[in-house]
Amino acid sequence: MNNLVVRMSGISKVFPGTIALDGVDLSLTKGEVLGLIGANGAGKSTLVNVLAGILKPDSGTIEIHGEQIEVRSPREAQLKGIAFVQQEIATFATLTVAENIFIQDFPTHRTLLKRGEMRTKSREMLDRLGCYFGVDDDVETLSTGDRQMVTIARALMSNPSVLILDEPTSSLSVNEKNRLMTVVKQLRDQGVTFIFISHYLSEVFSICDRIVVMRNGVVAGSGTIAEVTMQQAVEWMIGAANSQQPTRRSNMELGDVALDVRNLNRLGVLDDVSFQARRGEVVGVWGLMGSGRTELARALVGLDPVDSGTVAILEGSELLPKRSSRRRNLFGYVPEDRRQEGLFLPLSVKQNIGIVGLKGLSRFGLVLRKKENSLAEQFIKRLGIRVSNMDQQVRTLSGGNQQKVVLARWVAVGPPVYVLDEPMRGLDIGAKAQIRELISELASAGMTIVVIDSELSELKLVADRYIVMRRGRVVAELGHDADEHNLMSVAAGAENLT
Amino acid sequence: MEDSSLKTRNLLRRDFGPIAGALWERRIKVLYVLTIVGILAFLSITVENFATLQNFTNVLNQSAVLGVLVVGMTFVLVGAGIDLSMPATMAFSAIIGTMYMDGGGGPGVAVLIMLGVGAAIGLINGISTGWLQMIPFVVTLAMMTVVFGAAVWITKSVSVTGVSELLVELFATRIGPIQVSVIGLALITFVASVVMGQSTLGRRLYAVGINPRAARAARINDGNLILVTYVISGLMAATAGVFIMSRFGSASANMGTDQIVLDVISAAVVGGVSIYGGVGKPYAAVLGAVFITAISNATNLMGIEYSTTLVIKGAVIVFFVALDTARRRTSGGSASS
Repeated sequence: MNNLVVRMSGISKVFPGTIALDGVDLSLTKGEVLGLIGANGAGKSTLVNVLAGILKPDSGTIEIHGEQIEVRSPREAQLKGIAFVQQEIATFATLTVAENIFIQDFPTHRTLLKRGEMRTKSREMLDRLGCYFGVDDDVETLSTGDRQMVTIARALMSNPSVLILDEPTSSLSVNEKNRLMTVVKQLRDQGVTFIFISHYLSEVFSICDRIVVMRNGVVAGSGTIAEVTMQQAVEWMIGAANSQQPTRRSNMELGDVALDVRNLNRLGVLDDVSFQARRGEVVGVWGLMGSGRTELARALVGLDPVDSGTVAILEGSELLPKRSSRRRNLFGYVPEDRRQEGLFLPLSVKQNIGIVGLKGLSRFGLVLRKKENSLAEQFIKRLGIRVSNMDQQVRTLSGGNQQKVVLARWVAVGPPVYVLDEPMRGLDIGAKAQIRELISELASAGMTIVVIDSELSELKLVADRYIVMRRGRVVAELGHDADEHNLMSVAAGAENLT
Repeated sequence: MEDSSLKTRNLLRRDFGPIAGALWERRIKVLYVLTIVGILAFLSITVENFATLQNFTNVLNQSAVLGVLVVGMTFVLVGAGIDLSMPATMAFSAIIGTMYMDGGGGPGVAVLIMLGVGAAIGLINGISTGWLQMIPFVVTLAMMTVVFGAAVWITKSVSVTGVSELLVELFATRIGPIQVSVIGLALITFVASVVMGQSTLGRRLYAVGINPRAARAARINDGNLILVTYVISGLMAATAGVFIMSRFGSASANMGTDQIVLDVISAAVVGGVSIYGGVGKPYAAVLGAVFITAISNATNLMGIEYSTTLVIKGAVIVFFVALDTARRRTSGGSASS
């Protein structure tokens, strides 16, 4: 084909511990909108990062307009006509719209800015995009959608042949989304090629000409919109049915409602979230990236503020609403990023285990060595944490053992409700199984557990039922019998078709 | 050109694995100690009368005030803050105490009043930084200016006298060649070491300094802890005020010039306290104070001008901060936020 703009062949990229891309081929033709979809960690972002010169592939070739090139930096990619609008809206709040649009390449005359030129060119570009805000406005006065238009205008200044949009709609209102769609169509008709990354199938199917579905670093399927149905796309996202059997607890008895969340709101983050969980129950929170899962977790445990809503916890025989400052001392919380938020890396294993229950290990404000040691010893044994000794710095442990240390500090103080955010992320299969076992054990002992996991097959192994989130809302509560297809469809906004 | 700069950057940002990281950390520690020993050895050889027992006890006696200040600063630095107002607080509390005694007040009450003044200033610093999340550098810089200004104002920039003879005599007492203030410093260092090393407060403070986000997630009230560290530094500043006032029998605003701030911070970084928080031991910081005092002492003996001494001390700080930064990078210590 003559109008082939980009051809990537056999692109592979390995990160420590994972193969992010495994021989991926991708071609783009002039004036098409390609929808790139896939579950979390499927490799979409890695692939476009390679194309945009942010990551260097380990192998594979890239051709642009038939010429094989090496894209060594974002700058070089831009010169070759590849522009990338990243998911995080990167604007400079206190600079003007025109300054933001030209930030990568200010027009100058003997080192002085040519403000007039910046203004007129910005105006032209914004008119093309159908935007009516002023070029001299400070970006901080604009809405999120308008800011995104500024970043798109910035990307278009280099007159690219390919424009990559990574999750462009995730923080937009309905009107802003519609405007974006119009702009995309318009530019496509002018010959710009798009890569449109999204989790939301309905969006992809309404705007794209062709889709490519990725899973675990490979292309799981592709086709034109006319050929592919949403169900087919969902199947590709999930992959072959998982044969692993859930570690069901024998004799599962659910107790009283132990956690009652009502109408939790936080502007732009959580939208009227309500759900309940019982004693002895493992509730899986499922949703794609940006659905508000982590935000919900942090709000539940009182680390982030909420605008309105209540969280009540069972005490004795009553559900009592608790303020966020109190909740911090009632929940057990395993954060998403264990190195940045979970552990004190230079401190010892022993100190990391003891830190939450420090009061119980002390007398007159002094930590009792004996108590601290025996607690650490007990949990190192109980959770099978592999250490050479308990005074070893926790940063020298493997990921699985680090995660067990984080869990140990909570189990040591025995909170009635646990919120576990990605407790198995990055662990090997053995460690995952051990964490799952521990979760079951805690539930069997009558604890209530809310668990978030990006890997659906993994979540299915621990959760008794599911709440599904999308754009900060709970869009469905599904029972234990929900299959991966249901869950993925609801999370991706294709539920009306199943 | 672009390629090579990228390479250098990657080299600097190299993510050491846990084991290689520990190795580097040890090398940096060795470098710390070697540098200190090297400088002291150099001074011993080149400076006449430096390496004598007489001079050593001199240095020790002179370092008591700086030592007390740096113990207080260690608490604040470990919590990832900084207290620039300590020397001003020291001078101000000494002035208040001296004026009170000059007006006929007893030394015991005077000392209590001074500690109260220090704690109050620390409390304001602590509320601003710990609760209101203001930037420690700015808050304590402003506090330094306010307190120093107040000290100049109430003394009309002359020195005030009238310190109780009892205190002057107590602090002039020597046990062998060692002054009482050195014993006081030793006691304070011991208590501070127990608090930092053994208490729940110390344990939580290291946790907050290493990673405030993880600390919050682990049920630690970081705001209150930070507040407490500034109260401690205020109390230590006042204690240093008692020492210095008793040694001179007088007090003046000039006791708390910003030059002393530099000495306190130098002593802390030389003593291995990280300016990034989460790392540092009181006893080591006190050894840092002795080292800094020794440098002042040596430049004195050599007859080097004061301005040159400043240049040397400034260079020493930059060097040790560089080591601190290198250590932090290899240990992958604290989180960025």
